[in-house]
Amino acid sequence: MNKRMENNVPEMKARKNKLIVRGLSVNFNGFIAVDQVDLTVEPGETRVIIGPNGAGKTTLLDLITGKTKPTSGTIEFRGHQLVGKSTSEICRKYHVGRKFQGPNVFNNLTVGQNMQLAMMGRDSQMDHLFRRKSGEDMDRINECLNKVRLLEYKDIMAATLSHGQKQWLEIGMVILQEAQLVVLDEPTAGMTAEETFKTGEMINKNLKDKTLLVIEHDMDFVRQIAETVTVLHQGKILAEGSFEEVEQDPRVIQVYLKQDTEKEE
Amino acid sequence: MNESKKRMVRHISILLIIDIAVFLFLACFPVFANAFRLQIMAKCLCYIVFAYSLDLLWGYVGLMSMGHAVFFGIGAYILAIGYSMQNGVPSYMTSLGYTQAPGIYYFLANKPVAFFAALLVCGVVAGILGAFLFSKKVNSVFFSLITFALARVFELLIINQQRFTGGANGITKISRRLFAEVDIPQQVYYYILLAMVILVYLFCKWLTSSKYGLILEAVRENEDRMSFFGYHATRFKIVIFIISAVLAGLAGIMFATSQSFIGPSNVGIAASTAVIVWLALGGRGNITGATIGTLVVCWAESIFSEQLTDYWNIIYGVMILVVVFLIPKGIIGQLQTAVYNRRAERVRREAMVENKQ
Repeated sequence: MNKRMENNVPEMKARKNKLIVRGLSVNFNGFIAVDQVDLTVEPGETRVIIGPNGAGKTTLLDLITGKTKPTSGTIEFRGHQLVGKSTSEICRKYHVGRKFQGPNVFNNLTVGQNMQLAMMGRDSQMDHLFRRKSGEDMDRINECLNKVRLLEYKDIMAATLSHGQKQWLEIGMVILQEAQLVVLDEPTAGMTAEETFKTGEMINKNLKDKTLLVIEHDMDFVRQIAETVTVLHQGKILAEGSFEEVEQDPRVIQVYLKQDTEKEE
Repeated sequence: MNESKKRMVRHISILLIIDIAVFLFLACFPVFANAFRLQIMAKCLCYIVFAYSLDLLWGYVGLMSMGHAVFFGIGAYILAIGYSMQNGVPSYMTSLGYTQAPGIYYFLANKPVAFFAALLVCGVVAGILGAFLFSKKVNSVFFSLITFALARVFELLIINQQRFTGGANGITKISRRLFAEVDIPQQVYYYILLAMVILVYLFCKWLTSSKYGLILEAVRENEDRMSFFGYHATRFKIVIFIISAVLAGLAGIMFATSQSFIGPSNVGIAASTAVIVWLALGGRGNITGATIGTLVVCWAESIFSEQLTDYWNIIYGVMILVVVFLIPKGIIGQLQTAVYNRRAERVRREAMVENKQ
């Protein structure tokens, strides 16, 4: 397949919002979770990463967002090297936003407060102290809550939301964060088919202009949002291409899709 | 939308009404109280500021300092040493037979210097300790244990260094002056203390209602998530630890001057755990609870220990158990939850109706 296609292209000068990963590896005391991964995501592209459990998908996101330090390799976004930077700096300066696997929100704060926190993360401490919440801020929060179907729940604690609603809240927070590279780790985990479809619409409507990197298991959802798909297996890239191409790839069927159907049976 | 805004206002104003009522009561208190009761209430005022300082740290950021009386003590002791200077030597040192005080004590002879040095030292100690603990990602349980140990160490230090600190007897006869040249009458001083309480209260309300306050609560809820929004959680923790320590030092200053006394029992583990009990009873993370909890426990203590001296500790123990098992969020916390639950129920019902349409 066109697996190493990008390698033929000379390393271009960084274009805006382009993510370039080269030779990325991480070794956890002898266990190589991510092994020599090369990945190029074009500006505005939606890339979905699939692969069986333990393939290193979440670890890859940890490396990109700075939560884990790689053993070797480079990660470049907007022409800046992200390796070695702290998570908050990667978010602050390089505008990388992340949604976690399983909702990771501020449980005992209201939905509106959660949104506000996402919005003002890059402001200075002086702004936090002396600038009050403006009407404009409120409008932005309301608008965004409307997008993720949570407007009526604005004054409710995030803890009392259902699992799917928490996922939506976190997607809303990522939208409001105005990141340029958005990383979503299993945005539809634990959702019904209908909720999953709505989530897909939400992402297609509100995040399509960003560079998107999504981990997902639900094949219908992948078909709904993906422009290109990368398959990870045992820390290595197994295949890369459009959803149809990947779906037909015999190796992918063997390690991943087949496993999936077996499970369902 | 307007409807919910109105509800929000009503929700906030319940606490505000309680606060105003309490402060009005405190302002009227000298009118009908005798000098003895007034002195107890003056002590309560100092403790209220102390409770506010821990509420910022424990209630908002979730860091339960079990040695907060250390900062109370640092503030009180530095001021007490400065105020008891007579002819270049603190009076307690003279009575122990020493004629030479450590050089650094000479600066404290100036009253405003002693006052601001007390606050400054609290802030610096907290800053160093905080930078060390929080940048090493010490979690909240170990933070509690470390501060607990610190309280014991500080208490022992005060007792053992009798020459410098007055030892187990503490420092007595601290003049009730603040910056004035003569002693301020008890009633007037009561109102100075009350003014300080209200100023600190307004500061806490301002801080916690700002965006900064929201971030502090977010640190409590989910610190690990913060950095993915671009926050440096560690910085917020260090800053609030410093603010909290300075306020605790101020409470110590108020205590030393109004009670004319500071001793090891006011700065060690006993005092540190007492403030935790006040907050547990009143409720954390809403300032009002700190006021209520402090007043209730302090007055219960002084009344019961007068009437039923032998039983006070038992009553105290039972009270703590009741709080832990029946109202774990404290009086005001429970009230807030009840108000919130009604609101949440209404929102959920409305959302259901809307979904059906």
